Amino acid sequence: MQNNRLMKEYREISRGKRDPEISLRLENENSLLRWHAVLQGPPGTPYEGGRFELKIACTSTYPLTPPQVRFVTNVFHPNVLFKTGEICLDILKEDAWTPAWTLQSVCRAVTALLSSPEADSPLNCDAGNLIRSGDVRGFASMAQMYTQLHAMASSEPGCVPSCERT
Amino acid sequence: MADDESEMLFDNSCDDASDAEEDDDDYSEFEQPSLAQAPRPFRCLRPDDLREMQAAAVKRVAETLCCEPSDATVLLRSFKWDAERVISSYFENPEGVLEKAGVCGSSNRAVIDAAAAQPYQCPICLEMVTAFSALGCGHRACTPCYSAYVGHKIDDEGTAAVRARCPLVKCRVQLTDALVNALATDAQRARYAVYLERAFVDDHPRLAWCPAPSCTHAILMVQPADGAPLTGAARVACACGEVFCFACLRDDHSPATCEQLRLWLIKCKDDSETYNWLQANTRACPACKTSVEKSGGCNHMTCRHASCGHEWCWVCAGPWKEHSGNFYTCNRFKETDDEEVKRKDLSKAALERYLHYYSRYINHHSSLMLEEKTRQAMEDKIAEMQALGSNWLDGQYLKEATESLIACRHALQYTYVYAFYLPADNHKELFQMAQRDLEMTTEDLSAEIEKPVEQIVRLTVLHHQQMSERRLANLFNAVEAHRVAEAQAALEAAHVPGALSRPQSQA
Repeated sequence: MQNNRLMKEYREISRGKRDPEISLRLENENSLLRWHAVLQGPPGTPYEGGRFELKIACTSTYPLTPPQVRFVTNVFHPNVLFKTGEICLDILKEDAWTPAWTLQSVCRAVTALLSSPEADSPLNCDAGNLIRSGDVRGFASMAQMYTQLHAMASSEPGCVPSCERT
Repeated sequence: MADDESEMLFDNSCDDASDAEEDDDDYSEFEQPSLAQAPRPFRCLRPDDLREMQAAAVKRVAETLCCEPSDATVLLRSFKWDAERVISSYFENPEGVLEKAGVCGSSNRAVIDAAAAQPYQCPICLEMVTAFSALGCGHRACTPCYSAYVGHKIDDEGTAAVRARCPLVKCRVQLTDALVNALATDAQRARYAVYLERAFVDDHPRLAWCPAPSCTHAILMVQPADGAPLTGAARVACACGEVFCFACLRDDHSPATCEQLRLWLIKCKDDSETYNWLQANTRACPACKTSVEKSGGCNHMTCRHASCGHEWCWVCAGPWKEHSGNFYTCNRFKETDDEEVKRKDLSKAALERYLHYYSRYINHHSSLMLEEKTRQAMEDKIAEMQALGSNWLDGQYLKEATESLIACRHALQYTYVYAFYLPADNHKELFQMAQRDLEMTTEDLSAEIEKPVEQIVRLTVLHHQQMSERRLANLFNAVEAHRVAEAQAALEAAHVPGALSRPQSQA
């Protein structure tokens, strides 16, 4: 079932009909299990203007089990581990995952997480503390700085395109 | 002075719990609890009894609420099988109860493998199909996908399968038994039935499986008349002969508490590899003490053991509720860092103290290991006595004495666990006196019945046996009295603001 399903998703994605904020593609043409996604930072958030790369790894039991998703781009966000890009999002855990999620909708959920950080269960405690202490401006400027540093092509022209090719 | 009092205290409670009222009024508050020491009543249930009990609860709820038995099962599961609470909560707030439990409120029935008039896109395989199955919520998925989903839950998620939900995103309706049984393979169906039964016992607060290997019985604690919740250790005996503590499922460990025994056993194992690994990689869930390994994610832990579901903080092990809306700083974390240094200085003294208790604990423990041998030896002695001319019936007192001896040793080993965790105060002094008395008579009894047959004096054996039994009861009474007194003191302290104990939030 899973390969049919991933095939189906692959076709749907390549047929167009894409979300302008999300671009999803296979990491290489030989495997349907490994994907690469680029999210546009949602407007009106400190991530606006950034392009955030994600690595998605499906297991052979997908869609019965959730895919593993992590940020390749460094993100300053309470629910993302800065070093590894690990994401703490309930739908990516066995309990809340259901097979009706697709790679597209998972990416959309991650975009939604960027716009509404959940400071009460932080992976990045510094980011969480800024929000909890009410210093939203401080948090926003930190997040913005890291967005400019890591997620904007213009600031580091060499880095982003080369990542795309691998 | 203190010694005199303690003598009196022990002598009083030693006589008999029932004549406590006649005793000196000064000690009434100590005597009182020994009356409450009666063992909690319990019943041993066979698998058939369990099924019957489960069916009766389902039937009662289904009939009262006029709903499908499978919906009644889901409701009962979310209320820990308390049928009365299901019914009363339902009549207070029907929609809320149904939604919380994940039961579909509408009169729609689950549909299994029907054909739709119009082709639709299955949300799982994304194909256009007509065949579908759906729960009462009406969320359709094609039957092969639905079966694969149900199969995956049963094959890969263990007992959590009994809480599986509709596969649609965000839908909270629980899978019903009827749908699962229709879509699963025979092997999966059999396993699902086992999970249902296991979940019933795991979720029910007054049921526990007998821990003996391959025993299929469960113990049901009888509901106390006052509806008081079950707390603390309780000695129960399964029909298979296994005697264990209902609360922690380990060997009957009175007078030590479950928590003391848990810490003690970890301590005793502390050079084993498993222990090192557990210590380095896991923490015990603060609510149910299951070992939890953090494999990723944030510090917000949700216990997934049976129906525990406790939410806690990985760093400080405190309840997660207290973390919301505050800085993410767990004070206790630093505190242990400082204590680490002190602890190293103290560790040598601590080791000696531990060895003192451990050597005595293990001494009784190994004597007990020879239990069967002792029993056999007594049989031989009785036979020998018969050969010397007494009759079989006369020898039976030796058997009874042996059983008393075993009971005393059993309790004695755990008295060292209990004493190890006692703070050095008056109660500890008193306790250790009672313990010493019990140990002395136990050893006397042991020595007496191990004598050669010709030298055993029946009266002496009986005397030692009675003394041991009495002192054992005496010791338990002292422990129980202390427990009740402490609980009362804690209660009083909680009622007097600003007294001894301070609310935790200030810490």
